[in-house]
Amino acid sequence: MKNFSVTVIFENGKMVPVSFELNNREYEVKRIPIVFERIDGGRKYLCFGVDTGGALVELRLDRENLQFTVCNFQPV
Amino acid sequence: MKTIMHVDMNSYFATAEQQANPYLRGRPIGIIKGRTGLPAGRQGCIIAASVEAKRFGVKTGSTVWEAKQKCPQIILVPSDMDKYFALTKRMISIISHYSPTIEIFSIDEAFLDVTDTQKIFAGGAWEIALEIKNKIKIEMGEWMKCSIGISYTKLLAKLASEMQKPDGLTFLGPEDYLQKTQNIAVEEICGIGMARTRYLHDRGVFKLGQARKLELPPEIADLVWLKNEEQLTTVDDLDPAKSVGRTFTAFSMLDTQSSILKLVRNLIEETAAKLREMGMGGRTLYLTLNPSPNLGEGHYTKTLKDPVCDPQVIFDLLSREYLKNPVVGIRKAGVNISNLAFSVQRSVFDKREKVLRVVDEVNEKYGLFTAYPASLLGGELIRPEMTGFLGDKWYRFGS
Repeated sequence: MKNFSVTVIFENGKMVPVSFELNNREYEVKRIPIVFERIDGGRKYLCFGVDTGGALVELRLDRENLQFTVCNFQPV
Repeated sequence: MKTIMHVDMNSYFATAEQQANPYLRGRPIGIIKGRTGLPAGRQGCIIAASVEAKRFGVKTGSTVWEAKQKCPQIILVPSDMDKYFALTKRMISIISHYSPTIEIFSIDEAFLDVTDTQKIFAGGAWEIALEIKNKIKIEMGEWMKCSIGISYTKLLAKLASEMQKPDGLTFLGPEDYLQKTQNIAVEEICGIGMARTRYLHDRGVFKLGQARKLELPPEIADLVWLKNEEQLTTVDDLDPAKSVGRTFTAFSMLDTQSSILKLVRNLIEETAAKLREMGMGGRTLYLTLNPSPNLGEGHYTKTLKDPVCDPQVIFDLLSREYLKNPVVGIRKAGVNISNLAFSVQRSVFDKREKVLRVVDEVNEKYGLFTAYPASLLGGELIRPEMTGFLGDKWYRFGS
């Protein structure tokens, strides 16, 4: 998992990722087919399954420290 | 007369993966446990097939080899239980808006008693069902589908939901349920298992309509006449867990005692952590090791006077039993702790309790297996995973 930057907007009280930058490349989020929560011990992560048009990526927000990480980068 | 609704998510795990990955939609996919990339003979079996894969004859439980024979283009996707359970929680949240009496039957099925709440809706139970279907699409994802059955008993509601898949809505009323169900295969009925199916097939009976013409033992007759009037079991009606266990099937054969004991230790760590999380301890410790078919089977058990939840104690006792009569060449191991009791009190002079509490606090804050015994270093850790049966729903959903 890598630390990287994510741009989000807040829409109707909900956080919505709109783009992220990974390895000096910016990816635009085209759609978010799924949002779900992972629990590891007492640690909770809010996971956004996003489609950039060229890849499916899981953006994982640690609710404890509000840090995003990128997981499961799958080119399509 | 009651009005019972059964909500059944269609091809749940596969549909959830198609929801998460739009490029898989409309394509045959099979969910496998663990990882992809292994040779087909070692990937085990399909734990869920998509609607498209089912059309090729791929079923839950088919081996990967069989699935590829029937559907060469099948796409194998590793399971992600966190994702499915998060969606289940959302499904429960949706249906709980329509009735306070809910039975969570498994990870993808639930019963609702809408006898009283249907009066609030102009369209009654039909309106509730249509609203649930709509909300599932909005809140869980546009690809998520469910079949809903409405009737006056649980058995009939479940049967109704299975009559029209995917995305069905079926009503079975007292006046027409016998006629509508006469062409249903006997093995489709919840309660008619393999032995009863064989009993009926031996008499030339394959459909419910045929079975109803015969004189049958009362326990089978009640099922073929669909007379079961079992009540819903809500989370409040459930009893606390009677046992906690964990099994694991390794990707390759474990040929040495040390590798087996390492796996057992990992399973005990998980089981004991769950016990401590539930505030419980157990008196009967059980270890099962399934060797290859030609070597017999290893079972080891130990019963104690006082309940324990310390993984070190449990491991010491079970490994001692194992070493009296060791087996090797196994792929599957299981640890089960039963005879459970609440509020396990340990000696006030014992420092282990403090160590365990700190380990639990660290793992609670930073994630499971952040702190774990050094004996598990150097290998891949096996992490807890729920099953579709949701055996711990009292603990997961109870107040």
